[in-house]
Parts: sequence; C-alpha cells; structure tokens
Amino acid sequence: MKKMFSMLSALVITTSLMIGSAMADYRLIIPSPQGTGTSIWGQTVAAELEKYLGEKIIVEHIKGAKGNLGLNTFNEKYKGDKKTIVLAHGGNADAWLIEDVKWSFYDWDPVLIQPYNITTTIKKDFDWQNETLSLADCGGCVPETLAWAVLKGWDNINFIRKMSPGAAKQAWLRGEFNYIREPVSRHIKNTLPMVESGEAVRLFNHGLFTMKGFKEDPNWPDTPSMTKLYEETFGEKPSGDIYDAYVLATVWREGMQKGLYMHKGANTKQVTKAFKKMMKNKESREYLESKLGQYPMYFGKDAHKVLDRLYSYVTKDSLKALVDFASEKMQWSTAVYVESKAK
Amino acid sequence: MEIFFVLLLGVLWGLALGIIPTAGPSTALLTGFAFVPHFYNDPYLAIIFYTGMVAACTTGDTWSSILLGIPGSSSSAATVLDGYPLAKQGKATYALSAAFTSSTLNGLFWGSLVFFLMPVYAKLLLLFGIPELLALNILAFVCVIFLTQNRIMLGFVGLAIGLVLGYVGIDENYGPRLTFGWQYLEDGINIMIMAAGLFAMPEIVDMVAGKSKLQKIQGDFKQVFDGIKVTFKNWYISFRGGAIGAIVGALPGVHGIVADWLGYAQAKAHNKDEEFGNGNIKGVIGPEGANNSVHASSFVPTVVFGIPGTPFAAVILAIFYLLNFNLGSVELQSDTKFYEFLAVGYIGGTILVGILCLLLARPITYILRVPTKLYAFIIAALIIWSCYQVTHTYNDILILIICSVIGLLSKTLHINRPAMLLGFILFEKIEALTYQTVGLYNVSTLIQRPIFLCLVILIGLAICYGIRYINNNVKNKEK
Repeated sequence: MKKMFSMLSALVITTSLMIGSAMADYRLIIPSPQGTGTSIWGQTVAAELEKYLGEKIIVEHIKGAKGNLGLNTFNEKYKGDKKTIVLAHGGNADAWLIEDVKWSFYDWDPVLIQPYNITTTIKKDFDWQNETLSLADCGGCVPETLAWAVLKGWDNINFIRKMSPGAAKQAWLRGEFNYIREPVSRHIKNTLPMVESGEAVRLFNHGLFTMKGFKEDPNWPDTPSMTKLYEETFGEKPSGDIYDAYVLATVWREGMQKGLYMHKGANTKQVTKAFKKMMKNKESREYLESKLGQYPMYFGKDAHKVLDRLYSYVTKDSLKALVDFASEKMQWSTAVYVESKAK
Repeated sequence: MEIFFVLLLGVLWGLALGIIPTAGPSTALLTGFAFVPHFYNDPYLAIIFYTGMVAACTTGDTWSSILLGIPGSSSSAATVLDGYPLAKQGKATYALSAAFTSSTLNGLFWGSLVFFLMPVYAKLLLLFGIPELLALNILAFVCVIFLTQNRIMLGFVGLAIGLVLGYVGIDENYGPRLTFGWQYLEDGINIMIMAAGLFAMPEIVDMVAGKSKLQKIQGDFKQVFDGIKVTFKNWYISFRGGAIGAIVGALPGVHGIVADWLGYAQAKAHNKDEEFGNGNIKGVIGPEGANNSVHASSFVPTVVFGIPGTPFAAVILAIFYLLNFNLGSVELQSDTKFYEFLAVGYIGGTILVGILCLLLARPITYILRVPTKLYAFIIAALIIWSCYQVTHTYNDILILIICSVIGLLSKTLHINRPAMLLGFILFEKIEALTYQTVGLYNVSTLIQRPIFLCLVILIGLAICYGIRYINNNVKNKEK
C-alpha cells in the first residue's frame, strides 16, 4: 500500500511539473481544431509576431461548439488577463449574429482584422437557373446558402444536412455535386485547372470588403459578385429579406474572416506596435502574404474602424431576417434573435 | 540527414516501447503524442517519425513475447506459444533471429506493396460515392463484430457504447447532445484520450500486475544464422502468414490481433504431424510474418477511407489530423510527398529496426531486466501528459480516468473494445453519410450502383460467415 501510494504521488508530482512547465507569457486561444485553416493562420501569425513582441506566444486550441467553447473560455477564464489574445474567424462572426452566445465582439478590443473572399464554381454543364441544386449544409456556409437562395429560390434547392466542406468537395470531385465553394488559395490549388480546361466555370464570389463597403474583388476580374451576377441575369437589383440576410451574413463572415482580439484594458498597444513593426519588415510581410494570401490586414485604429463598419450593417430587420432564415430554412434550433445586438 | 535523424528517433522510441511488455504501437504513439507541436513547421517529418515508430514497435514487441513469455503487444500474442518454450530451451537467439527475419521480410514485402502503391489505392476514393462510403463504414462495423471474436453480443454491446460515446458533443444546428451541462463535452470526447483509456491504460495495469521470469539470451552467432536460415527454408509459412496479415489488415475495422493467430493456425494446419506449443520454430515464423504485414496493410483503409483498421491506426488518424493530413480526404490524393514520406517511414523503419535488433540483441535485454512496474509509471506519466495537451485543462485528465474505467471494465467483462473504439470514431461519419445518402439518393438510384451492391453483399456474407464460424466453434466445444 505504501509502495502504491509513493508511486501514485510520484506520478502526480511528475505530471504536475510537466504541466506547470507549459505556463508562459502571451497566450493565443484558437477556437478551432489544429490543422484547420484558422489554426494554421493563427500559428503562422503567432510564430512571426513573437519575433517583434519579444515574448513567447503559447498557442492553445480550444475547439468545439462552432468555436463557442474557445471564445467562452477567453471571455470567462481569461477575463481581465492582459496577455491573452483570441482568434475569431468568419464562422464565429456568423454564430454571434445567429445564436445567443455568451460572448460578444462588443466587449473586446480588435487588434487585427483580415477580410477574405470565397468563390463559387459550378460544373460547365450545370444549368444553375433551371436544375435543382443539391446544397451542402456546412457550418460556415451560411453566406453561400443565402446566395443560392437569392439566385434560385429556396424551393429549387435540395438542402443536404451534415455535409462538411470537405465532404462537399469530395462529392464535387465524384460528380455528386454541381458546385464547390472555396477560399481563393484552395481554388487556385484545386479547381483553377478545371476552370482553365473548360470543365468548370467560376460563377460568383462575395466581393471584397473594404472600409467603404463591398466591392468587386480585383483578384477575380472575370468573376462577378453574387449581387452583380443577379443583376446581369435578372436585369434588376436583388432585394428582399433573404438578400438583406445575405448581405449581413456575408459582410460579417468575409469582413472579419480572421481577427485577433484582446480584453479591454489589455496590452493591446504593445501587440499592435509589434504588428506594425512586423508588417513594416519586407521579409516578414512577404512571408505572411505567401502563407496567408494577399488580403489586407487592418490593425490598431484601422481594426476598430472595420469593426465599427461591420456593426453598421447589423440592423434589426436584417438580423431578424438572418435568424429567421437560419431557423426556418436551415433548421438551426440554436438560432435566436437577440435584439440588443442590432444598432 | 534530418530525415534519417527523425527516423532514427522514431525507431528508437517505437523499439523501446515495443520491447516493454504489453506496450504496443498504440501506447508508443500515445506517449509520443506530445511531440506533435514540434513538427508543425515541417509536418512531413512527423509522418516519418510516427510511421517509423509503428514499424519499429511492430518488430520490437517480439522481444518480450520470446524472452518473457508476455506478449509485446496484443498482435504478437501467438508468438509466445512456441517462442517462449524455445527461449527456455536456450534457443532464444535462434527464435529471435527467425522472428525478426520473418517479420522484417514480410514488413518489407507487404509494406512496399502497401506504401509504394498507396497513391493508386487512394484513387479508389473517387470511385466510392456517398452510399458506397456509408456501406463501407457499415462493413467495418460488421467485420469488427462478427469476425474478431466469438461473442457477438459483446461485440454489439461494445459498438453500442462506442456509438453513444461518439454521440456526445454538439450538433452544430441542434445544440448539445449528452453533455449534461458540462461545457468541455460540447467538443466531444477526444480520440486520443478515448484510445488511451480503452487500450493503453488497461495495458499499464497489466504491466503492474504482470509477473514473469526473463530468459537469458544464450548462444552465439550460429543461432542468429540458423534463425535466418530456417526462415528462408520455411519461407512459404512466413509468406502465407504475411499474406494473411495483409488481408486482415486491409479489411476496414478488423482488429489486428486475429492476424497473428491466423498466421499461427496456418503454420500448424500445414504441419499437422508436428508438435506445436513446445518450441516449434514454425510457430514463431508464421505469426511473426503476419504481425508486421497486418500493421502495414491496415494503413490502407486508414489513409484511403479514414476508417482505422486497428487501435493504433485510430491514434495515427488523430495525430495526422492535427498535422493537417486529413486521412480519407481527397486533398491527400494529390499530395505525393505525403505518400513518399509514409513509405520512407515504414520501410526505412522496418530496415533500421531489423538491423538494430540483430546488432543490439544483448543490450536490448537490459531493458527487459528492469521491472515492468517502473515502465508502467513512466508510460502512465507520458500518457497523462499527452492527454493533457488536448485542451490543457484538467478536464482532459478527468475524461481519461472515465475512459480508463470503461476500458478496464470492458476488458474484464470481455466487451469488444475495438468495436467500441470504431463505433466511437465512425459515429459522426455514419450519421453524416446517412443524412447525405437519404438526401441525394433513393432506392431506384441505389440499385444502379454496382460497388454499393457489392458492398451490401459483402456485409451479408460477413454476417453469415461470422454466425457460421461461431456456431461451429460452439459445436466443437460441446463435442
């Protein structure tokens, strides 16, 4: 018994020492699993930023519940912590709009925000206006679902539950799906050859978020935004509740595709200063652009301006339209309209 | 040079864990999980490290089977039957030499077939549509219940528990499921922790409880050459064992432990006039041939379809996912570097460990002289540390304790743990594929899909074979 007790004590002490050694300076909470695009983005930025911050950044993945678990942990466990940063992505932004989450962007200071864009490609033979579209219900695909609902009408869509972007991609490659949605980097790697060989056609993207609102993405001069495609096809501007919901969901997801936030009163200035230094260094900037794509990064005061601009889109009507769509059409039982989120 | 260094590290880690009684490839991978972040800058090196570790562990587990009479892992249990008696007769070097030769040759042959042709197998994924993938996952369930042990009911119980545990988490659109208000569970139970609790922790308990007498390595280089010679003389036993292992490993969901027993059975069946169980070298050559090839070929369903054939493959699945290699996805198809490194890791690891085992025979026995209880302590600490890496909270440890209790109880009650792990891992996939199949297909479109129909027939055949095999066993016992 004594022997057993001493072995157990030694085990506890050893593992406690090992665990204790992990405590360090800055902490970056990534609310996504390791290996995902968000995780790679966070780890790439953290590794580069460390050099300018002069302190180590420990990356901690707390995934689950569409990222809410990590964001809740940042909000509650690290409340008031001056050295904890959280990475929120576009999917978290849509979750904040649609669900009654326990955290809020209002409570945090943005350190960096990077907008992004996603493009939708269809098979060349697919008559998107007249044929029924099988559409994947993947967690982060709210803007695509709304875009197709605007373009085709919900009744012409076969909504397939529980289909991750990866599963949808496989279905696309096997010919079970007629469309694919991808970030630009993946499109270049995977689908561009099909477009160039004439097997597929880039149909639309969402446009690029700027301080002045959305504009046509200069990276894709031959591909219209969904709004422009609608105008070209139907000869009128899109309108109505679903379109309002689309604009809101898209501006939030693409506008803040990747963002770093800290609690109010935290060492935001120190981190922003390090970011400025990092982006001034040609080598670091080119390295980050090669890894993360050539999309603008807003930090410091500019990040605040981006966030303010995004908030201006959250009106009671558009928020209600988005929540109603998620609840009624996409069958999200977690969708709740929270009026206080709207301006 | 960097590749060789990483391979060597992986091989040494795998060999050390393989030599320790009852600690198999799953334990080696679980203890090595904490190294994952060190490979984020070059994840391809991690492939070499972890596959080299599996290859080395597979060969290394022969040591304790022959010298201690305790299986190095669950997949080298059959080697004990004739290997340990040979060691007691002073022929340990002879037995070890034959075992390593059989294991290494089959590892190289079947490993080459598996890893160099992996890009070709990967193309299969595009032939499999959503209904075919659903049928393949169900086939894995059927195999693990009907083909891996005699007690079908306990297989179903294991599967049911696994499915319930896989259900825990959050449905993205419908909210929490079986989380009982515990926020940590909203992310579901982590595969690493589950595998550690179900397999590694019960192994550690075995280590603490195990009593054995170490046989000395006796003999000279003559025994080494005799061992190599006898393996080449009985190459067909070794090769047949390897072929059986390769087939069993490639079946999705079939736990590798049956392979070495089938390898042993074929050696016995083809030498009916010889006595087995008292030190027949053929009883070592057969199962050792299967032992290595089963691990090599179990990479096929794991890499191509994301369906782990063995518990260690489940851990590999989890580790590679963290390194952004999503096994069973189409993204991997075009990643030729991934397949190259996989081949280098396994084939290179097999060669390296074979050389190390033959050259370092005597020093290696020192590892076996240390009381296994001490290893149990070190391995337990490493596993707890590895599990803590999941979320860096003590919730990880608590879940590990719960999973370990489930693992220990299941082991005691003979509930099918591989079925449990497979049910747990595949629940989400099966659920999603069911929704997708129902959404995209109907009966008339399904019956026009030949691969789907073939898989349905295979499911039926596996059930019939399993029931018939078990009935025969019952009748034999009654006789």
